[in-house]
Amino acid sequence: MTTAKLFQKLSMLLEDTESADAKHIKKLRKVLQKLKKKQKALHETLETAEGEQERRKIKQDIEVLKLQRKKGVRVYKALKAGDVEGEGEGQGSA
Amino acid sequence: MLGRILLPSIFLVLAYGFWVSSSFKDIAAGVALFLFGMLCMEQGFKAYSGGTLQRVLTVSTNRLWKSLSFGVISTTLMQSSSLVSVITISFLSAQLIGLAEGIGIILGANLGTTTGAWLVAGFGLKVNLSAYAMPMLVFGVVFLMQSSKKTKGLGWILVGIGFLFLGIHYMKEGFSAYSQHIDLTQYAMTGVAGLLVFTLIGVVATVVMQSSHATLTLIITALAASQITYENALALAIGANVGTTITAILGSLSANISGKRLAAAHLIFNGVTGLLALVFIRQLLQAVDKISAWVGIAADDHTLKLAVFHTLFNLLGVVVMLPLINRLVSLLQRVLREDKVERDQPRYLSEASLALPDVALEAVLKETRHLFSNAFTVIAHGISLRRATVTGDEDLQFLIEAPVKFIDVNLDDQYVRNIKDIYSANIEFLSRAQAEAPREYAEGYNALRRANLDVVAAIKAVKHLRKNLLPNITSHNSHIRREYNRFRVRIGKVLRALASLRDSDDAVVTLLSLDQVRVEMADAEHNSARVIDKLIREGSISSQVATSLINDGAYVNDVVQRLLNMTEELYRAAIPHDDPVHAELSLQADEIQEIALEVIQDSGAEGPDRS
Repeated sequence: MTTAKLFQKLSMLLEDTESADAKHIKKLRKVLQKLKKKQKALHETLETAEGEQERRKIKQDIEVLKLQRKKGVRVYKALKAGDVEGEGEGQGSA
Repeated sequence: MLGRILLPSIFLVLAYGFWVSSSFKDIAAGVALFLFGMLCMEQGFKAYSGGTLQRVLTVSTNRLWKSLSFGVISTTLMQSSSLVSVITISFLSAQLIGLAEGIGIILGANLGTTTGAWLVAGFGLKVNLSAYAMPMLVFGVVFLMQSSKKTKGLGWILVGIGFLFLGIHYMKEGFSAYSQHIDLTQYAMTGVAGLLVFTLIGVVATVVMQSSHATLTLIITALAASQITYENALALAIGANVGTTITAILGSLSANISGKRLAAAHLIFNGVTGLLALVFIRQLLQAVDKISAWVGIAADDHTLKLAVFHTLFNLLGVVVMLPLINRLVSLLQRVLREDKVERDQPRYLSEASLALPDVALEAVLKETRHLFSNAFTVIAHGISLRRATVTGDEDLQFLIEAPVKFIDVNLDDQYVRNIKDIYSANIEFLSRAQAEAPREYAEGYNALRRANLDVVAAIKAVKHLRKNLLPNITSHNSHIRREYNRFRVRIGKVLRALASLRDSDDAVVTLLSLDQVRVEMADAEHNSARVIDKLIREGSISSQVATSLINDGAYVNDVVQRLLNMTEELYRAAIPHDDPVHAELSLQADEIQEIALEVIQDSGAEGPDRS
C-alpha cells in the first residue's frame, strides 16, 4: 500500500469517527430540547394545579426531567470537549 | 398425493432423457444452472431487502402509480417477479403496506418481468454469454469470501448472474445440437387446440420450475433453434404467465388473510391477462407485427417478436385491471373473510417474512403490541376495572372510596382466548427468525422475547393478586378495602400511562418518560408501606391481614415492573442498538428512589391522608 493510500484510508477512518460523534451530539441535542420543552410545559401546569396529589405528581415529573437533562448536559459538554472516552465510561453507570 | 406422483415422474422423464440424448442433458443442465442462478440472485438481493427495501417501500407505495413503478423497477433489477411477489406478501402480512398497494406492486412486477424476455432474446442469444459468465463467477466468489453482509450480497448477485448466463448458454447449445438430430416441430399443433394445449404446457412447466423467467428463456432458446413454432411459443408464454402465480400462492399458504388476498389478486390478474391474450390473439399478433416493423425488428426474428408479444399482453392486462383495483380489493375482502375464531390469533406473522430480518422484527414487534393490547384488557378485568375506565380522563383516585362494580371474568379462560396462541406463535416465530437472522439482529429479537415473557408474567401476577383482592375490596373494614383499592389504582395508573404513550414521539423521549412512571410507582409503594405500618400500630388491622397486604403489594410491584419492562423492551427494539442516548440519560434505581422520597419530604405529606 502506498503512503498516499494509507493516509487516505486513515482520513476516511477519522471522518467516520467524527460523523458518529456528530450524530450522537445531534441526537442528544434533539432529545434535550424535547425534555426542556416538556419541563417548561409542566412548570406552567404546576402554576394552575390545585390538588395536592396532582401538584405532587407534577413536581416529581419535573424532578425526573431535571435530572435527565443534567445528565444529558454533562454528556453533551464532554462530547463537545472531545473527551468522549473518559466521560463515556463515567456515564456507563448513569 | 400429487407430490408423491409428480416428483418420481420428473425423475423418470429426466433419467430417460439423459439416457437417450446428450443434448437433452445440456438443456436440462442449462435449466438447472439457470434456476440455481436465480436462487443465488434472490439470496443476494435479500442482503439489500431489509431496512433499505422497507424505507423505499414506505415512500414509494403511498400512491398507486408509485407502487406500480416500484413493482416494475424492482422486478427489472432483480429479474424475479416471484421474489418480488413473495416479499410483497411478507410486507402485506406485517401490514407495512395495504392490499391496494400490494396489488399495484404485483401488476408492476408483471410488467417488470417482461424485460427478462427482452434481455434473453435481444442480448442472450446474440452474444456468447459463457464468456461473460466465467469472470462474473470468479469475482462473485471473491466477494462471497468477504465478511461484509452487503459485499457478500453483491457476491451472490454476481454468482447468480454468472449461473444465469451459463444456464442460457447450455440451453442454447443443447437446442442447437438437438435440432441436428430431431425436429420437435413435428409435434407442433395449430389452431385453437394448439393454443390451449401449449398454454397448458406453459402453465405446467412454470409450476414445476416455479419460475416464469426460466420457462420463457427455455421457450426463447427453443424458438431460436427452430424447435418450436412461433405460434406455439406464444401460447407457452401465455401459460408461463399464468403458471408463475404458483409461487405467490405457495408463499401465501402460511401467510395471514392479507397475504392470501394478494395471492388471489395475483391469480385473478394473471388469469384475466392470459384469457385476454388467448381471446385477442389475432389482434395482438397484428399489433406485434406493426410494432416490430416500426421499431425495426425483422419479420422473421421470432424471438424478439415473442418479447414484444409478452410485453404487449402484460401491458394490456395492466391497462384493463388498473381501473378495477379498488373493486378487486373490496371483492377480495368480501369473499376471503377472516375466520371468526374463539381464540384470538396472530395477525402480523408470516413464513414469508422469516427470510427478511427487518420485516420479521417489525412483524413480531407489531404482534407483541397486539399481545399487550389483549393483556391490557385481561389485566384491567383482573383487577375489576373496565378498559374504558383505565383509558378515560377521570382521576383513578376515586376508586379508593367508590363502591366496587365486579367484573365477572375467568382469567384462565381469558388467557386461553386472548393470549396463549399469540404468545406461543411469537415465541416460535422469534426462535425461527433468530436462527435465520444475522447476529446484529440478536439484541432486537432478545428484547422482544423478554417483552413477551413480561406480558405473560404480569398476567400471572394479577392472577395471584386477584385471590385476595376480590374479597378484600368489599371488606367491611374500610382500611383494608382502601388499601386493596389503592393496589387497583396503582396498576390502573401504569396501564393508563402506557396506553397514553404515543408512537409519534421520539422513541428515546418515550423511553425516558417511563422514569416518571417509575418514580410515581416508587412513591406509591413507600406510601403503602407507611400506611400499613401505621394501621398495625393503631391496631386497625390484624398482623395476618397486614402480611397479606405486604405479600399482595409484592404482586402489585411485580405487575408494575413487568409492564414497565415490557414497554421498555418494545421501544428499545425500535431504536438502533448503538444509540447510547437513552442509557446516558435514564435514571438509575437509586435516583428514582431519591426523587420519590425527596418530593415526599418537600411536600410534607405523609400517611393515608394524602390520597
